[in-house]
Parts: sequence; C-alpha cells; structure tokens
Amino acid sequence: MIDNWTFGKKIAAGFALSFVLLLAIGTVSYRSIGKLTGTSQWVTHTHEVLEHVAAVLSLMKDAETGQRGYIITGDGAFLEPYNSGSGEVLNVIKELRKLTEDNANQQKRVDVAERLIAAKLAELEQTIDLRRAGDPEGAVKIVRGADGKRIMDDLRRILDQMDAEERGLLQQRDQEGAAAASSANSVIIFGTLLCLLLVTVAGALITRSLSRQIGSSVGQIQSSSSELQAAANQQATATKEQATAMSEISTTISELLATSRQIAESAQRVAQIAGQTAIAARSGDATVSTAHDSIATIRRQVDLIVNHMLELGKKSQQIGAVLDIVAELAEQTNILAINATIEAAGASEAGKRFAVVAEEIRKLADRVAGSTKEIRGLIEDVRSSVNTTIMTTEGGSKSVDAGASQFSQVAAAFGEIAGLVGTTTEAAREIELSTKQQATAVEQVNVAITSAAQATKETEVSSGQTLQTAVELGGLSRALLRIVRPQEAHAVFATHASAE
Amino acid sequence: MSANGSRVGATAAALRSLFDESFTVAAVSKQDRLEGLLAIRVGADPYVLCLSEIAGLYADRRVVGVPSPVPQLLGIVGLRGMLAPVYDLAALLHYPPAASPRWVVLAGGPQPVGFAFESFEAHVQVVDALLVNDAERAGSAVTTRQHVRGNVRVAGALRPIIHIASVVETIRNNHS
Repeated sequence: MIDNWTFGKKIAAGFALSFVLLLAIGTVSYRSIGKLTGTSQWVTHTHEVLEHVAAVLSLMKDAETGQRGYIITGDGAFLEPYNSGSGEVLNVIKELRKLTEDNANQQKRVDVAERLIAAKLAELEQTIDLRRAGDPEGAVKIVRGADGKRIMDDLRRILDQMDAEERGLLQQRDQEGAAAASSANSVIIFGTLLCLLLVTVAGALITRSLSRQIGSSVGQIQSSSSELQAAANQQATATKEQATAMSEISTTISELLATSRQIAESAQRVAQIAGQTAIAARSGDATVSTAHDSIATIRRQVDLIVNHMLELGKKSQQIGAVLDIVAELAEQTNILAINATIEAAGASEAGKRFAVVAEEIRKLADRVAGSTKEIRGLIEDVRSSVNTTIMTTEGGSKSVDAGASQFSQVAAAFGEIAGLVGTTTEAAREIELSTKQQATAVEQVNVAITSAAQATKETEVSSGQTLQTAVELGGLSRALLRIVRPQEAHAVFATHASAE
Repeated sequence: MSANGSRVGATAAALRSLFDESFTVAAVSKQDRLEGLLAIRVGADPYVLCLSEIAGLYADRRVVGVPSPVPQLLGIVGLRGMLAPVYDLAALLHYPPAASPRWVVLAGGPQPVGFAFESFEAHVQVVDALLVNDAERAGSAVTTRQHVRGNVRVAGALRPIIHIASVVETIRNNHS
C-alpha cells in the first residue's frame, strides 16, 4: 500500500511519525522532570524542617546556657544568649508550625514542643528574676529541681521524633526522586532509542520505496530514452532514405515528364503515319486485286506445264521402250560377234580376218550397249526430273491456290488494316491528348514531390533534434539513477558503455 | 541436260573413231597373241571361259527338262539343228543350283554339251602374259575349286579359268 503513496505523502508520514514520537518522549520527560522537581522541593522543605527543629533545640540550649551563666555569675552579659535564644525560638517554632502544616503528626508535636518551650522559658525567666532579685539560692534551687531537666528531656524527645519523622520523609522523598529520575532517564533513553529506531526504519522504508520508485521510473525513462533514441535513429535513417528516394523520384518524374512529351510527339507522328498507312493500305488493296488476277493466270499456265510434263513423261517411257529394243539388239549383236569370233577361230587365215571384223562388231555392240545403259540412265533421270517437276508443279499449283486464297485473305486483311489504321489514328490522337494531360499531371506531381522532399529534409532535421533530445534524456536518466542507485547506475553505465 | 547431250555426242564420236581405227592399225603379231575369254559369274564368284573351248554362246534359249537321275542336268536345248544336253554350271562347280540360268555356252567336240549360267559379263581378249599359272595362284586369295585351271588377270583382278574339257570329261565319266 505504501508503494502507491506519493513522495509528499511518504515524506509527510515520516515527519508525522517523528513528530508523534518526539511529542510522546517530551511529554513523558516533562512529567518525569516535574515529578523530580516536586520531589526536590519536598526534600528541601524537609531539610528546612530539620534545620528549624535543630535550631529550636539550639536556641533552647543557648537560652539555658545564658540563664545558668547569669545565675552563676550574676553578670548581665551572660544573659545575651538567653535573650536572643528566647526571643528567636518563638519565631522558629512559629515557622516550624508553618512548615509542617501538611503533616498533622508534626503539628501535634509542634504544639507539645511549643508548650514545653513556654514552660522552659518560664522556668528560665523565674530563675533569672530570682537571681536578679538577689536570690541566687532560690534560683539554684529551681535549677536543681527536676522540672527544668524533665522539660528539656521532653523537648528533646519531641524534637527527636520530629527529626525522625522528617528524616523518614526525607528518605522516602529521596527514593521517590531517584525513582522519578530513573523513570525519566529510562523514558528519555528508551524513547530516544525507540524514536531513533522507528525513524531509522521509516527512513529506510521511505528511502527504499522512493529509490525503488525513482529507480523504476528512471529505468523506464532510460528504456524509453533508448527506444526513443533507436526510433530517432531509425527515423533519421528512414528520413535520409526517404530524402534519397524523393530525389530519385523527382529525377524519375522529370525523366517521365520528358518521356511523356516524347510520347506525345511520337503519338502525333504515329497519327500522321497511320493516315499515310491508311492510304497505302487502300493502294495495297488494289495491288492485291491485280496480283490475284495474275495468280489466276499463273494457275492456268501451271496447269499447262503439268500437262506438258505428263506428255514428256509418256514420251520418255516410249524412248525407254525403244532403248530396250536397242539394248536387246546390241546384246544379240554381241552374241553374234562372239559366236562369229568362235567360228572364225576354227577357220583359216581368212577366218582370222573375219575374227577381226567380228571383234570390232562386238566392241561396237559393247559400246552401243554401254551407250544404251547411259541413255537409259539419262532417260531415268529425265523421268525422275519430270516426276519431280510434276510433283513440284502440282505443289506449286497448290501453293498458287493457297497464294490466291491468301491473297484474298490479304485483301481482306488490307481492308481490316485500313479500318484498324483508322482506329489507330483515333487512338494515337487520344494518346497524344492523354499524354499531354499526363504531362501536366506529372508536372503537378513533380511540384508536390519537391514539396515532399522539402518536408522530408525538415523531418530529417527534426529527427536529428529528437535524437539529440533522446541522448540528453538518456544522460539525464543515468545521472538521476546515479543519484538514486549508484551501484545499479554503475552497472548500467558499464552495460551502456559496452553496448556503445 | 546440255551436259548429258554433249557427253552422248562425245561417246558417239569415240565409237566412230575406234571403229575407223580398227581399219587402220596392223594385225596383232604372233608374239602378242590374244586369247579370247568370256567373263561370267557362277554363284557370286567371277570366272572366265576360254573361247577356244566353246562352240557358241546363246541367250534366252528354251531348255526342255527331261527326267534324269543326274541332278546337274537341266534338260535339252536345240542349237543349230541339233539337240544338246544342258547342265547347270553352278551345280557342277558345287554351288547351289542356279534359279533361272539365262545364258548357255556350247562346248565344242563330237558330242555337244551345253552349260547354263546366270550372268554373262563381257567378252575380253587378253595376251598370254596375263595368264597366271597355279603356282602364282597358290599365293592368291582365289578359292581353289574343281575344274579350275589357272587364272587370268582381268581389269586388275584375278579370275579363275573354268576348264570346260575337264567338266565334260567328268560328265562323261559319270555317265559311263
């Protein structure tokens, strides 16, 4: 509960506790000292009573001494002690009566003593008168009597009783005074010790509570200052990056502005080119129509080529048949020549000549056969070429058909191109207009970015100030912690220094 | 096409020139006596036949089959007004029988005998110096077969010479 108190409340509670303790100790001490003072007064009073009791006896002795000297000598000078003693003893007994007003026993003894003193003084006066009258014998006779001695003995007994009474009271009051002094000392010593203990405990509690509260607050302040410093650092870094980004954005926007203007110019040129393209597309459409007619002509000529090539193939086959006949004739000729050679070998010298002729015929037949093979190969090449040409031509015919179809598609495409180019022209004009508007907007954005960059710079300065404030706040919190918790502050400084 | 035409023209000119030259050169001397050979193929191997051992070469003649215990006998054929038996030359040389032998050579002698084979390549004439004896043939890679007598170098390659007389003798011995 005490932890929730405010500083003022805790300090006021400490002072209030000290005040109450000091007030209690002062009150007890005052009462003890008052009691001790009263006891001292009563002791003084008792000593005064004792002095008066002793003075009564002494004065009575002086009076008796003077009486007896005068009786013996008859010299009036010896009456001086009698005169002073007899006159003073009445005053003393009167003061003694007044001093013992609070004690009924002593008052009774004062009455008895007063009567005895009166009786003694009367006896002394009687004897003195007798001596003065010249009857020393009578005076001696009275002195020798037992009355005077009995009175003095009674007086001494009464005064001894009073003395004993007063000394008893004196002893009692001394004891009371000592007890009061002891009580006062105990109260002062133990009260002071208790007060010191309580004040020390209260001071320790308050100090510890305040240190804990202040330390906790200082720790929080230090943590907050560290966080604030980190945040300020981050903010400063972010602001720098933002400033750099703003600069880049500004540069980029400037480039974008230039690009937008270029796009506007390009869009304008595109519109012009699109118009020219539309004209060219219409011209291309007419050209495609002409090309379509030409392709139809090519198609017919290709058909003629195919027919001619087929005819050529047939002729080649006929040539091949003739060549077969020629080859067979060459082979038969060769056989005939060989047989002629065989026959000639068995003949005479004329047969040898015939063998030469037969050999030449055979060679001729061989060469004819070889030439026939070559011609057959050539004819096969021709037929292959014709077939290839026919296939190629048919492929070309199909390609021409496809080309004609594609030309139709091209013509349609040219129509679409013309339409699309018109659309493109409109779109290019819209692009030009939009790009100009975009350029205007980009200029406005550039102005806004410039303002934002200026604000970013101001924010950067503010971040620097915040960082400086955070650093100062951290130093302040460490100084405060050094005041409240030096050891912890030392540890924190060490940690802070190692962290730095 | 023009290149082929010019090549054909050049071939015709060469033929004409050779034909004309044959009438201008002198006859062959006895020292350079030529031997006529027929280059044929039996099975897949090249052989030659000496013209001096045959009486004629024929093609596409109809061979009439006759029942015979001789498996090499294909039948009989009519040549120059007489009948002659026709044997499969491949079977006689221990090759697998020919499927459809087109060519027939007629061996000379009192009793004509025909030998059929599948492929006739050419009629060549070589000088005696190109004939190779058996000793030289022993160092070559040509396969040694029955009825082969020597070799001849034709177009750079050795061709075994089939000895027709040996074949005829073998047939006669088998019949007797």
